[in-house]
Amino acid sequence: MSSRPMPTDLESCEMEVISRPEFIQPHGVLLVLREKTFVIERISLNAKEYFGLEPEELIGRKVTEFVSAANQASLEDLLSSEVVTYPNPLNISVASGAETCDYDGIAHRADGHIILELENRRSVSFRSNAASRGIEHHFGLTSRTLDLIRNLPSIAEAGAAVCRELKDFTGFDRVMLYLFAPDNHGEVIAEAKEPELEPFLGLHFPAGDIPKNARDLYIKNLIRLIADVNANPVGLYPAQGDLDMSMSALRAVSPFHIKYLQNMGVASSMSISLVEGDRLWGLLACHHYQGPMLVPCSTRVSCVHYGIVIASQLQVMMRSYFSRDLSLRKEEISREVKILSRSADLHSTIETRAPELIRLCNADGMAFLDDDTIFTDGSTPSKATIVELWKRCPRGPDTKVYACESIDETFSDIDMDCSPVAGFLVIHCSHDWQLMFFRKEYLHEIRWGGDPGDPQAEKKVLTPRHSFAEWVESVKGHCHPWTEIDLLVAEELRSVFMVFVMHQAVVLQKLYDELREKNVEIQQFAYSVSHDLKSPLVTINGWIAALDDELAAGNYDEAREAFERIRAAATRMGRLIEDLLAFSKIGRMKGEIDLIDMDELCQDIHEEFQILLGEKGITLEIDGNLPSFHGYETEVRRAMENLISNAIKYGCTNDQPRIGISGKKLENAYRFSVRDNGEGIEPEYQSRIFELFQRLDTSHSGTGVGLASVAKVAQFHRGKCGVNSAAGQGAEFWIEFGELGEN
Amino acid sequence: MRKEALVTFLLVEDDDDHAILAERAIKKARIVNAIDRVRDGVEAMDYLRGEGQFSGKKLPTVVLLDLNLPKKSGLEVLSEIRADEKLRSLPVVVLTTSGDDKDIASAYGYNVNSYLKKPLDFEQFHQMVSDLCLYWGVWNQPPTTEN
Repeated sequence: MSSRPMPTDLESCEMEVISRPEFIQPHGVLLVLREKTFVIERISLNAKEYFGLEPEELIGRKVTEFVSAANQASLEDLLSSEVVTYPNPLNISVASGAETCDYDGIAHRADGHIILELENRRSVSFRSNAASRGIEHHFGLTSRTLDLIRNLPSIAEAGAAVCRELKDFTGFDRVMLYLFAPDNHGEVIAEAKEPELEPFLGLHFPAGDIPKNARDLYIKNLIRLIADVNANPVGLYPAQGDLDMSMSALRAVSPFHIKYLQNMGVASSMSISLVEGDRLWGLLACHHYQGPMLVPCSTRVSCVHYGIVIASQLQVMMRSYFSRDLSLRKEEISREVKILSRSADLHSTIETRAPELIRLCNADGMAFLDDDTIFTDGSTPSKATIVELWKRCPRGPDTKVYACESIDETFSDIDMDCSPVAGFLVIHCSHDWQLMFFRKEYLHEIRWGGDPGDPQAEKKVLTPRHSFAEWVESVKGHCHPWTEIDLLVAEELRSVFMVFVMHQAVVLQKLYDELREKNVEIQQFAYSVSHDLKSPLVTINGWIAALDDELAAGNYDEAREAFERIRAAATRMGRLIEDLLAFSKIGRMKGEIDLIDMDELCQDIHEEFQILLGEKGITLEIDGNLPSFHGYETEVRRAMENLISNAIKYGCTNDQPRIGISGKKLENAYRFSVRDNGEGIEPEYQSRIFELFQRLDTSHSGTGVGLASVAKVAQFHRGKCGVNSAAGQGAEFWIEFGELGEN
Repeated sequence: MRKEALVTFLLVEDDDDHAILAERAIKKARIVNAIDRVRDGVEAMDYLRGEGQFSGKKLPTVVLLDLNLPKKSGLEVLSEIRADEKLRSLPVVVLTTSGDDKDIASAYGYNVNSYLKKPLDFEQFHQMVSDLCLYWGVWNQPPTTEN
């Protein structure tokens, strides 16, 4: 028996054509048959154990010659059928001398030949021999597992049940469910094992542990048995050939893989591929430590079927878990978003909700940049680095959220210490508002299959540990990729912040507008002091000089007139000062909001003006049932007084002067009108009369403050005022008070 | 020296006291032959355009214009004068209590001929009015206007 040459370096591993090893595992015999004639063209070197003849004696002879008479015709029929894979196992009785022996025949077509493999059935005493225990046993396994996992809440629990069932069925010491990440590195997500064995659950295995060529074979051939890791492989006769053994059950194992398993103490292994489309997404890996496991073909067939059914069921479950997790996370987002959007002070809310926000984004830390302050929570780089990162990351109208998985790689031109994080995500809110989330290095979170730092492992050539180094290098400085859901969360958060930022801008604008209004008012005030208040002073000074002149000239009547004018000017000045003071107080001494009885208020004013009205012969009519509303009574009274006094002063030029007061409730306001039957006001002057010190007629004693006060009172009641009039038609001055509500 | 002609002032002033005191001071200077007074901006424009009750009125030598006026402000009157083909070269002197920068800038923006702020002290006021009469009534050479 020849033995295989042993490769010595890892580089040749990926290059090795593992589908054409030209060797088989020794627990069976392999025959290469010519189509139609079933003549043996090649045969494994252990042929004598099965046929009692040396390989060279068998070449050129029909295989059916060696099959028992009862079996011959049916075997020829079977092998003639036009299939790639036969309904294995085939029952084949080989007559060797006086003895007849039954084998499991496994046949398939490859390279234009029929490849027939025989496995010893007689010597196998396997606990879950499906052939001996019946097909019901196989169906029992599948249907029981499906029942068990259907309602389990996580892939880990479902996987554990699958592993338990398969372990029980096959008798392996350990059954693991591997899940492959997009980068093809594997993680053990479920396991069933003998209690004394060290657990592998949660371990990650580098992608290099299953090279591409091996992965391709796992996809092509859904089951792979290595019955005895320590057995010597057997070659083929004649030796020259290039046989595609990818579908062969007995195909010898790559020496790399043998070494790998030996280093793990594995005596026998079996893998069931979990495939969707052309992607190997998982493996059910069985390890046996105590010795060889000659898993019979019928059991393996059961396992293949099991793998196909379980793979699709697990995929369905994973999808539903994913969408369940997604909707749970969405719910969480909307809950968090609600809390944030309700808060009056987003800054402090972000600070108190930081742990939840970090969790929502599956991050390890976050930073909140607001103008020149930085708030951080969890794992973050230094504040200086945060600012540097923020400055460096791309932004623009289309970059609302930016995610980076490796700061080292993306920003390789800058030398900065990002520890302990590897990647980050920025949510651009406004020019000076940024929210950043950080993730630590992926590598730090992973428990490795074996210790990558083990110095002994370094020395062992051809151990799986070597592939770690390469893998570690490829993920170094990387964080877990930011998934679509992560970005979705970020977008959601951003929209909340945008609403808040815009709201803030509106508030600021309002404050700014108010301030500007105040400023205009103050300027008006200053102007009035320089002009209108000075005006009577000029008058007084002027008349004093005139008084002097007249007294000197002995004109006592003229002196008397000058004296009267001085007194009048002084009086007017006093009134002006009082009016200005009162005007300046409007809106500043608001007091309480009360329900104002307008009927009562207007009656009061009526009484106040009684004498004046009588003197001028003016009739004042007040409508009954004026609407009551909430407002600042003192100011409302002032406004109404001013309107009525304005009407008395300027609106009573008629022979029979009349003033009418009315009021009504509008949709969102209360409107009161004071009507007179005087000359009216031409439209071009109507807008100016509510301005401070604007008077149309200076022959009366007005100060030009009254209507300006009315406008100011209306403004403080979220209302407005105006006048409807035409020349000669009388005037209707109106004021509207907005709904202030109680307090 | 200006050509021999009647010197007439138009005083645009809403405040009666101010008007009377100004007229007294102007008369005291004994230069101005006639003073007409109007009370607001609308009347002022009517006067200058010879409209309504002012039909047949000749243009004054100079207009003394207050700024804070009812109906039409002094600045509006000034801008209308400057926009009017027949009035644009008429000498206008603002005479007001306001020393507000914005008012001064606006008035010069409309090419006012002079801007005078009424002093509080009446002696000074007298002096100013007397100088004003001398300057505009004697020394200043106004454009020849056809009426």
